Amino acid sequence: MRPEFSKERQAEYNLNHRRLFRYGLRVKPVWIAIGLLSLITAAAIVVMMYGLSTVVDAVFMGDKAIPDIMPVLLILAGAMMFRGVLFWFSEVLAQKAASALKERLRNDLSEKISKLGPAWAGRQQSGELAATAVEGVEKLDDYYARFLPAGIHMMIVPVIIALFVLYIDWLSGLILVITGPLIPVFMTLIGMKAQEQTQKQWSVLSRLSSHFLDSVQGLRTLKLFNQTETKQHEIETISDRFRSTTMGVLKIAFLSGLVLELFASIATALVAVEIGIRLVEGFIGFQLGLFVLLLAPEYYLPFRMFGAQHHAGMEGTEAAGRIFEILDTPEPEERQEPAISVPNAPFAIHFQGVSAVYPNSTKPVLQDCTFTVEEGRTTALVGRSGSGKTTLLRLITRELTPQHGQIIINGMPLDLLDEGQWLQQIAAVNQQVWLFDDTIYGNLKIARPDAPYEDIVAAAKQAEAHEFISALPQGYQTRAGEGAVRLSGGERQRLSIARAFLKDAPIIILDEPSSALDPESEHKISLALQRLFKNRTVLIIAHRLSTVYNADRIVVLEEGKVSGTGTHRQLVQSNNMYRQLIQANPGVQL
Amino acid sequence: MTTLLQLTGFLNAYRWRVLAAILLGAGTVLAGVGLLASSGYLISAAALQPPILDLMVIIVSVRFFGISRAVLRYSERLLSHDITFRLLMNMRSWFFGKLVRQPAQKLTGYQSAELLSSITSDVDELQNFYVRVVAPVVVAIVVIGATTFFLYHFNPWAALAAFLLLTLNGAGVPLLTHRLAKGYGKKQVELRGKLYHRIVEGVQGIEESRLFGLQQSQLEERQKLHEQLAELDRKQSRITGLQDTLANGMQYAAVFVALLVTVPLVISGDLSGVMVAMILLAVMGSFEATQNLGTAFQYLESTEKAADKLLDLINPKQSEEASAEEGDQKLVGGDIEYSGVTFGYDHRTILRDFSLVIPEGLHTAVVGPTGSGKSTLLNLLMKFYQPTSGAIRIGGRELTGIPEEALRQAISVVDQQTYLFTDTLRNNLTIARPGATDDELRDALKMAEMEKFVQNLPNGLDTPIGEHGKSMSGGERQRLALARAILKNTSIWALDEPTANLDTLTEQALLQTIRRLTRSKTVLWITHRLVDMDQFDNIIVLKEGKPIQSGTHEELISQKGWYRDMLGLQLDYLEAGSG
Repeated sequence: MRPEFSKERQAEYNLNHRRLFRYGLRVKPVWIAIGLLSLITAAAIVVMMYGLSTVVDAVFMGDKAIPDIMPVLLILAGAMMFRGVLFWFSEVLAQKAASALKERLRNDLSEKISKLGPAWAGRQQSGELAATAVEGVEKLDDYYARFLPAGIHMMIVPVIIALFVLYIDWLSGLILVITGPLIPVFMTLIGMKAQEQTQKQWSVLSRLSSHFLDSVQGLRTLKLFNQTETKQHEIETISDRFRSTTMGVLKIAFLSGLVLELFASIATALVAVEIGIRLVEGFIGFQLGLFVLLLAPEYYLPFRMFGAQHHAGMEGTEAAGRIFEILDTPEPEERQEPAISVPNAPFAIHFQGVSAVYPNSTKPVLQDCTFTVEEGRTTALVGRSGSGKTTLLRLITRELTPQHGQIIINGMPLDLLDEGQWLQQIAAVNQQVWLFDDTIYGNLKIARPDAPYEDIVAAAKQAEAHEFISALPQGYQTRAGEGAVRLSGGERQRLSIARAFLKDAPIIILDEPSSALDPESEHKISLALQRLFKNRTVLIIAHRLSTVYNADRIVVLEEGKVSGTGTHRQLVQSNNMYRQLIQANPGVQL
Repeated sequence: MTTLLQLTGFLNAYRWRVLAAILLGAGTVLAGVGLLASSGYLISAAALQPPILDLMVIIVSVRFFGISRAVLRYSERLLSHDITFRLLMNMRSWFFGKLVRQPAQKLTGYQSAELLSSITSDVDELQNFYVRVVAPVVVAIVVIGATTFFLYHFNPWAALAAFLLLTLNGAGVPLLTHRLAKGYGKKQVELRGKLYHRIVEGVQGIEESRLFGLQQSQLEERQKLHEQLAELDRKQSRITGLQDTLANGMQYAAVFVALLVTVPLVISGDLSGVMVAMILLAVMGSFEATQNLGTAFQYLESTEKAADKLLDLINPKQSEEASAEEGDQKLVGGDIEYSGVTFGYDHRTILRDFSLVIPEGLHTAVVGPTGSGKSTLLNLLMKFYQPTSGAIRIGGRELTGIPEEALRQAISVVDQQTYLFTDTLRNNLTIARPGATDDELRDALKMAEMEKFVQNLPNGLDTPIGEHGKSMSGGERQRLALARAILKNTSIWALDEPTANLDTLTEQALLQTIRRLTRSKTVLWITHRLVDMDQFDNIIVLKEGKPIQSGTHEELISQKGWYRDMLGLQLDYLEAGSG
């Protein structure tokens, strides 16, 4: 649902419109070419109408036969063909501008999305982002390929024709010069009102459409309550009510079109009558009169064409809003100093007074955290949801940089290390495992692109995934990802573990599932993880008691602060929060 | 072709409006022709310097055409928008009515949300059928006819030439360019789909992409797609440009031909020279009607495609429902019995020879891993699905003999996710009991423990709850579902993981409320979390479509098996997330 049209919205609309226009200037040469083409078009129109009026004059007034007027006929035919070809060029040029701009915008968006990284992307709806980059950008096509060229055309062709008519017949020229500018003036006067109204009309349309979608999506609920007929009736009454109010709105909105048409028609009629009267009095020749009469509609045509593209302009501007919003999202700062290569494994990760804040927020998620993830050991993170556990993992993978403090890797500050090299050292097993639109084999291979087939199978075996993969219809060649085979949460987890085995990274970060899968899967996953953890530096967001019990060290997080570290035995003695967390579990007696 | 007939059928209801709109549309173009032609005649006649009074009639008609063109255009736009709105209403209502009678399987798959929004936009697409397809084509035919008729008075050859060129312009040019551009449209849809996918992948898989160092290659891949799309646009523009060139060229050619035909006639004295300018301008003006038929062809294709998709979805030969509508409407109740039920779809068997009795007034739980077929039990009970074989009975009556309406009147369902309509709280409740009084609604909310929630709403019951109820928390949504069930007041309740998306505290509170509300009811409870299981009279463990264990909580924990394993696992989980 769109908010009601308001001053702020108008201001935002204008701003987007200006930005869209400015963005278009990136292909200035093409616009200049389109301008030149408009100039040539105006000239072609003049020559064509000159030819036509001369031929008619020769036949009507001069009683000439075809052979006598051959040269003018040839000029006429030539001008007609030339003008026809110009249409081709203007279309191709306009599309050239639009395609180039769309391509740039898509590239900008694409780059922006990867720069903003997972912390931002996690809060977005991927479908909406994709729709913005694909369909949203496509809506700008009409803006750049139709609306702007029509605008350029409108600024050039009428001016040339008016100047020319002024030169050959000042009285008619005067009519054109006076009526022409009135069209945009009237259009803006009514247009301001009409734009508001049209906007309302579109929001009504989209509201109707979402009401319908709502009804269709809620079909199951409606059936369960035997309310489908009532809903069907409601669809009708709502549509009808909206129709009658919208029609009231459109009566006004279409007035701008009416005024435009009236002006163009009446002005053409005026020119015809004025020329007619002067012809009777003999103040003007027939050829000249017809010439001017033929030029008059051509003078008004560009205004009408531009009016017809008004909606394309509006829709483009609307779509641009979201595109610019994404492009304007502030990026995490990039480090300037040259990166240092990553020291050798194994790694200890030391957090030294680390605080963290998410972009666009002032509330610190982590405050002054100090603890060490020891090399070759398993460290478990516990704490309530929102205590900052996930943020700690994000700091390690550098999706986020600390606001204060430092993370130190084997004595080196993490933010000085080469990011690509550093990420090579980490394998992550998340709650949600993403599978790419590829085969299972391809999905595993990304962990080590040069891995031979045997290694991939071996990793799958280590991860207890080989068995279920082999049972799939095409084994390792079965397609995974969206719209393909549906794997259970446990199976996806095991694929993720297989990737970690393949990558063979010295650091493992694991976000444990927060509720139980089925016993069989759980058993296999824990077998696989035990193998994976051996001799690696492991940091786990723990949701299971057994994980906590088995950890070499536990870090307790409380509202973004480390409230204690140690083994289970130590923490039970010393840490209140830890005791609470553990005791909340019905199976635990301390 | 049948699709088109069906679409045209919708227009029938508004045939007088459609006729009027088409006449107005043709009138607009013809007034334009009249304006040009009468102007041409005016100055030609004036050039012969007659007394000015002789020109009065023609001067008036020039003005008349000028003004009427604008007014006709305005009325035509209004009327065709009115028709469009009416059509859309009709089509939506019709389609919704058809959709209701579809078997639910089709609409429940996991891409259903996407499917549903795509069909809504398909229905929206149909609105173009009149304004963009029917109206321009019929108007063009009328104008071509009128122009030909007009020219025939002066010279049959000129009339024939104009007829041919107009027809060529209206049909030939669009057909030619459509043919040339055929591959492009398809390629474009394909590329856009691919790009869409790549972006979704880039966003959802961003963590994996970073850690496996795939981001650069993904970026490059997307850039390549952007480039391909741009290249396709450019290629396509060469064809649309050709269309513009041909369309306008055709107009010029017609003027030129008219010139070549009329000149000898004037020389031979068969045609008065005064007519030449008028004829030429009339021919020029008439092309307005055929200039934009290219878009009509495009819209014809897209509306046809959309209609095909919709008709395919509601294809009558696939609908299995609407069977036992005439069955006994009397109250449904008693034991629920599944006997030897087998069910599957898409070549997958979900339940195999499944039997179970849910005794009246007792609480039965069905537990098991995800994908074991638990929710299918409920969908079969509510007749959303039809069993492949076997039977389901309620109080001894076969489900097939119970009308859907009576069945759904008798059972309250609380799903894992409660669907809320983008509407007020009141309207979200009254679907359960239309015409319920404020007191009844408040009582139900009170029993569902939502009093506080309503008190805090600015407009009480009449507060809009946002898009799909997004202003409500998970717990509140489930309580609203309970309030709906209370209003429905049935003796059978079927619950499908009603607490699945809630944290432990909210879950506990909700479970208590549900237990209080269902004390003497027949309950079928589907869950994969084993919480408060000692409250159930009977528990069934379902795995891969077969019951593997059954009994009370005490019985099940005393035996080895899935149940005990699962319970043990669950005890291992920290409730840290919710604590």
